[in-house]
Amino acid sequence: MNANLVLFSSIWVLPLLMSLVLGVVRSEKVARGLAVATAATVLFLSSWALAKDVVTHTFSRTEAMWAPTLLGIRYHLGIDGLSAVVLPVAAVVVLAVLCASPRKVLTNSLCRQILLTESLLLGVLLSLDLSILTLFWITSLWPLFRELRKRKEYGAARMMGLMGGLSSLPMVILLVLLWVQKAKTGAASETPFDLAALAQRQLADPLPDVLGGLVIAGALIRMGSFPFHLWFLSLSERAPTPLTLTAFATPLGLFVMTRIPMPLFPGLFVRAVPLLLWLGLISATYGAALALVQTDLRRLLGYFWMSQQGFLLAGIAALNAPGVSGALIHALGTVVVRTGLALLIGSILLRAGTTDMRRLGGLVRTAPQMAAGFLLLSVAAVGAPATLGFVSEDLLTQGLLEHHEIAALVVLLTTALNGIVLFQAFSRVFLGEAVATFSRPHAFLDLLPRERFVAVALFGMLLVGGLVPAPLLAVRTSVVEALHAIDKEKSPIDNLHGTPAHSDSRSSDVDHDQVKQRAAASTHTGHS
Amino acid sequence: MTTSQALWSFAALSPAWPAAGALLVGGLSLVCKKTEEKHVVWISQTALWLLLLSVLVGSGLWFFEGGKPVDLRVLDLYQSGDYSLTLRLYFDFASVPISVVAAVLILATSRFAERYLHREAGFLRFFALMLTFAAGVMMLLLGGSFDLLLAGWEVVGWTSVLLVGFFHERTGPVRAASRVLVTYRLCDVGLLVGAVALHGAMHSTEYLDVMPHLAAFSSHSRILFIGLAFLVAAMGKSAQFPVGGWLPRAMEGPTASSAVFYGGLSVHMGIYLLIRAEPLLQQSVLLQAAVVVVGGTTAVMAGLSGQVCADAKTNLAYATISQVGLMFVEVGLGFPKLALLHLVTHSVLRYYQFLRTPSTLQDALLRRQAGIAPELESRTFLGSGFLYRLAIERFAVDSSLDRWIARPVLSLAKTIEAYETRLGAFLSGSQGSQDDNQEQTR
Repeated sequence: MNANLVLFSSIWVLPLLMSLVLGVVRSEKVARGLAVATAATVLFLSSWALAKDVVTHTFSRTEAMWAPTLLGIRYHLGIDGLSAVVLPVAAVVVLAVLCASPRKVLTNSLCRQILLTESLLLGVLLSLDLSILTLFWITSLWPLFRELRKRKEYGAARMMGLMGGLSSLPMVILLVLLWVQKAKTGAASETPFDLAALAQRQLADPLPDVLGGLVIAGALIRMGSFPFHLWFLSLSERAPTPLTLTAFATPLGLFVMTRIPMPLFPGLFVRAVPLLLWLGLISATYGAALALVQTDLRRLLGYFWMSQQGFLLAGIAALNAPGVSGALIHALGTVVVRTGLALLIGSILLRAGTTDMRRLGGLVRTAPQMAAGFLLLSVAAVGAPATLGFVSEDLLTQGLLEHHEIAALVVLLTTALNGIVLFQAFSRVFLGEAVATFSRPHAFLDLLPRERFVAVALFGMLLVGGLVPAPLLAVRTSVVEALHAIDKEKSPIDNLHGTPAHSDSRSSDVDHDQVKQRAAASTHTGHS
Repeated sequence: MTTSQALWSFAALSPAWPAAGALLVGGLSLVCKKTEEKHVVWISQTALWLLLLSVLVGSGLWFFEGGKPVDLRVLDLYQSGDYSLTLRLYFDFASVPISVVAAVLILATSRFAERYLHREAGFLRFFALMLTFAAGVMMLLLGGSFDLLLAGWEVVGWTSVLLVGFFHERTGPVRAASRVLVTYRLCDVGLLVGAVALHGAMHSTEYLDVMPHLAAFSSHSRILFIGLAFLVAAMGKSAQFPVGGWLPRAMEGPTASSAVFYGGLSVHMGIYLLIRAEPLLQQSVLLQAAVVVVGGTTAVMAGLSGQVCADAKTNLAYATISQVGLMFVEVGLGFPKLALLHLVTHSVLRYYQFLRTPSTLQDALLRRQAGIAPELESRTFLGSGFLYRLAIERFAVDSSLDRWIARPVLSLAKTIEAYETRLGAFLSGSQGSQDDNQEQTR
């Protein structure tokens, strides 16, 4: 148990410490080197945690806590099937950002902010205590906010403060309410903020639904779903790409959605499903349609991202195995795609001084590798066969079709639109006649070795995931099958507690078997 | 392992050879600073010969084992809930002849392009794309389920788009590629919807599971829905009315790829899909009627448009469209085997015509200069009236689609975008977008 505590703690403490150390490092080169080394170590540690989880617990939850409680707060960390995979992906994003971002942009102070953000994000993923989770959730926005103020982007900072505050407020209210409850009941609940205990307890003593609704809204804001997407757009345009990627590429909104409202407000969550589904579909279509008419690459990527978030939301709202696993895998694939594309766009910005597509064109002549990277990532983003996107979109559509045929149709049409959007962006920027309206067109360099390495590695991840998707699905199996059980049984409140994230591994195995039997039975009837 | 099993395993590698070739060629460009043409050619030829051999072995085994459909289960890809995807190959009366023809045509193209594209800047790119295309076509033709057909279909679509835009320095090819992409992406939704809906209804999309049970399937509206979805996909890929405007534009690509895509293989894949879905068509007269009407209309319109074409390649493109339209009619009337025969013969002939066109014109010119051949006259039976006008305007199909569908969608999006920008400016308390140059430091 202690070994786990050390492992989990070091995953989030290490980048935090290093961000402090970088404060006293003078040389930018040394600072970058240290930051990359830290990110690589964190990736190693989180992959190790994943591997350990796979080998010893087969994707059920591994916990670690430090016994003392203070004001009911307990240092309680853990990983389960869901967070075990998101952790290394978050670490990959940071490593890619640190390796491939332009050196000119990656100053000492920005490296510090990136590591700080990484530490806080990983903290959110690891926490099993609501109070600690909320603390990480709120503070993880702080470095980016401060950076915006420092760069005198007051408008973007204002919008970020507003939306970030709105997304955090419900959780703070929830904490206060729980603390008041604890004060009333006294010693009966030593640890009022423990998520597993909360999920058990709310059966007897449900929390007010209004609060659940607010927490869902908070998660939606953090996902940048319609109608809360404007702050993401302003950030993708105004904030430094490396830091925005670190802070927002990880599907944190989705993660918190499955970690707080799903188990704590199961009844409400099931009732909110139609709303979430439609919000998801609107986000997906709206983002894709507006991306069609963008002239700036960064805004285009922002709308594309919004559209992808819509898919995730719709998939989760399908509440069945293929839908949810499709959404979760799509979340991972989208993170990788977005990181790759945003880094390439960052390189274009630095070389050409603009990301306005009207002022770019014919770049393939001087930068063929950059063009190939952009194209391959775009193709992977819209579900080309043999990439992860194909698997996730296939599953997502299957999941949606089980209950909502129109929804499946909308998702497919939107995917088609997204493909058009990305290809048109590609052809406007890289193909056609060379446009020399940006500064120094002849000095436009192709990818540097480190940028190429990152682009190839990211595409390689998508390719491997697409060719051998079974392990990824297995990682999700525990979460997914339990959710499947909710849907089949039509008695959400009882079954949500079968979610392995909040119960022991045995109950998840039971769910798993039941679901498999049921699936076999339904297949059988389908054929006969 | 018996000899037969070993041979079947070899046959199962058909899509793998070109895929491996494409990866090798792609990898070569990453590793080497300057790649030699001969290495690229060697890899491609080896991969394509192996492909041909695999397909021939599979076809031979299929033939000697009595010509019954053979279903090869290769690999379980993934499974979630009651949904799973298995890699399986399917040899039957439809897939065997087309895949043999496909393997031969692609190999021939590679031989042709070796000289044709010699010292062209995109030499390596062409071969990488063609090998990817070959892998996609094989997956499309030999895949044992609609899901695998879909995977191959997508690969064929992407490579097709990229080859149309092969000469990317000019605006024309790039624009044509965009047009192809838009048509493909939107029509492919039909195949996706159809496959997914089929799975919803039958819990499988594998031919062996689905087709024999279709007769017992009661819901007529569901069959109609799935069938129409497949029809939309087939219309896109086979350039049928009203979404066929991309094919004449696609002639911007290199001759070699135009021949194999739009004369030989890609354009016929819609027919292949309909032949696969034939048991479905038989369940609904309405569906059959729809297929016949689409094919018939296209055949007539393309035939008339072809009459007034000034250049040979466009003329060939319209001729192809009208023949494929006739194949639609054949499938719709319930003669899939006739359509299959038509498909195979047409693709070989048209492929040859496409390859020969540039040199035929040159030959004709030379002969005329030498006084051997008489001056060419332009002849059309359309006269100069209303019909001629319609034909030369290509029946205004594309412009109507642009005007009534594309433009309203774009202008709506632009309006919303303008409001969003204002709202964003309001929320952040700024005056909207600022000068780009400010951002140079980021």
